[in-house]
Amino acid sequence: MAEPRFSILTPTYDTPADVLAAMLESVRKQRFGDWELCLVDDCSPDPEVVRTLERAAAGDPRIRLQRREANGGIVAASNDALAMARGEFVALLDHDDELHPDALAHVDEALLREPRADYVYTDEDKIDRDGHHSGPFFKPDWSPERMRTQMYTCHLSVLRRSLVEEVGGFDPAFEGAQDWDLVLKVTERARAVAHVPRVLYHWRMLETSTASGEVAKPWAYEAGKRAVQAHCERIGLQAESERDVADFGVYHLRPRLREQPLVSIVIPTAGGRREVRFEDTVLVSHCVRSIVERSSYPNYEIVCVLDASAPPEVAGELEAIAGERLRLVPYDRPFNFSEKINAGAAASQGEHLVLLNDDVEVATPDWLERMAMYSSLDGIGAVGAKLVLQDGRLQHAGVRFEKGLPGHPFHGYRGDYRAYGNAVCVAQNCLAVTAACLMSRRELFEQVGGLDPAFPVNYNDADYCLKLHRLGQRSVYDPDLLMVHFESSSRSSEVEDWEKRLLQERWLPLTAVDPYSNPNLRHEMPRPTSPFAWRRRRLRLRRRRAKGQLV
Amino acid sequence: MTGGDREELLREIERRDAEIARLRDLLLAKEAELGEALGRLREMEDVFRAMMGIAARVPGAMRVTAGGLRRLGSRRRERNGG
Repeated sequence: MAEPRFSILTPTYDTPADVLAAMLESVRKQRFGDWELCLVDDCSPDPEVVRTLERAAAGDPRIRLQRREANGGIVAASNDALAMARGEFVALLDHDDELHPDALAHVDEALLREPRADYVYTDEDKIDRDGHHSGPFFKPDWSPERMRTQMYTCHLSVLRRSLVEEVGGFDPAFEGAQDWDLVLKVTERARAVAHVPRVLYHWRMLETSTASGEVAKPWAYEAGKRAVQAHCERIGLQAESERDVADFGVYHLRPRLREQPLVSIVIPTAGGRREVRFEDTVLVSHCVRSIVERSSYPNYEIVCVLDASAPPEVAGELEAIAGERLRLVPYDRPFNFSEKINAGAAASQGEHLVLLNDDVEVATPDWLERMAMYSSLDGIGAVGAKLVLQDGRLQHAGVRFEKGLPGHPFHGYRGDYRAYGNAVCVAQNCLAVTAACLMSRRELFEQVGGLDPAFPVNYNDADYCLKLHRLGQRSVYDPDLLMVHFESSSRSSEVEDWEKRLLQERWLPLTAVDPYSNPNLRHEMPRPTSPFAWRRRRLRLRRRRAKGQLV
Repeated sequence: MTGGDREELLREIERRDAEIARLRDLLLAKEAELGEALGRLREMEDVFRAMMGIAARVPGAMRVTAGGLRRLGSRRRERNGG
């Protein structure tokens, strides 16, 4: 028999008969036929399981069965299934779950579109014993930073077999989180990763499965923490993995920096005042005081780009607060945020630059460590923070693009809002983050020419991050880095039409569909219109095929 | 002003400062509570808007379904020679 395109790996153990039959049927019903199913029974005590598996293997030559002599656990059984596999790719299917009939067909299409992909994953939902579907999880495209704080790709995962074997298959050291560990190892070496934004895997909620909640497999989440830690050490990310106290599927990274390079914090300011917590305050003084009083990072300088029109006492006040850390750069031209940032960056010396608005207050003491942790990693261009308004509501949790224009999802929601798929409380990649608080390596900032003065007020940050994106540098949102933003205190938040046009002219079609969102979501809320839209698309395709426009 | 009056005045200012700080803290707490409520309201508004979007599509979806059913029915009748 020739090598099949896909080997489906399914270890079985004491699977309920109806659920096992449904799993087997979902594989047999695949529209794409070039597959083999590698079943390994891990010594199930129930003889009905073996009988069902034997019947299935006897009825279809593509179904192959192996029985273990002794129970070895999920990792040993998965490795046995991997050893049986002959396919170019391996697809991981749990014994109590189901595949959508089009699952392999769509994965194959994705691989034809992106032949370099070594890992493909799809969207998924949950299914109960009676076959009722719920909780669809519409995922973003490949987001390496999210993968370190949430095993979001989960099911269906399809990996190039040669690469799986190269990394040593399933590691028994991470039993319970062996899939996460494997995907991390494979994606460290993968040339490309593809995502199919369709629900093609149905994860069964049984009392014994992880889909039903933490109590089912508490050790799996500890194994997950260790898998992330090992991954951080392999790639040189100076961080320690921690579990979330509220949600068992969420993890956090705490910085553990070995070096503390100089960081330059660039703050453009006109020395404006406003009421902060019911007190009349000079914003930049408040900002600098919060940096000096709260930051735990020792090696930083503050570069204030001060308008000539600023009240004369502001400079003295800043010097009194920041002392020798302060560098003042005078600015006497009409307001242009980009120019002011570029002037401040030119006058600074740090290896990393922080672009900071003067109406921001530091809330997280290790904010600079957190930013440096990400910024020091190859492939990361910009790091952004979680910003909240004075009353605690969300202001920024990463930027999302719709029709070429950037927006702040969940703006105005309560500060502890976790969002669909925990999107606000896991680290993740975005096309852009706000320059109200943004860190970049100096070399990258200079390589892309800093912020573009063609955007004097709005969108300079989006444009900057997109320039980095074009260089292959990712932007990261860190939810554990909290800042208070007294938003648009000095300038109007209105965006002019010409600014929108300029950004769209530059960056469409790249920003037409945000890769870090999902076509089935709008503002991160499940969009119930999508199934209709999907059907319409399929109908259109069928009509075009019927007319002979498509082969 | 005598020394005693001055001390009394300073004590009074101190008392008032402490009261202002207490009231400001109260205001901050109330502002955070209000923020929480406004945030929840914002979420609910978004969900409501999404639901209204679905509701607006129901008549259209029903028309499409009814049309489909009619077509199916007429085809069946044709097949049955009716």
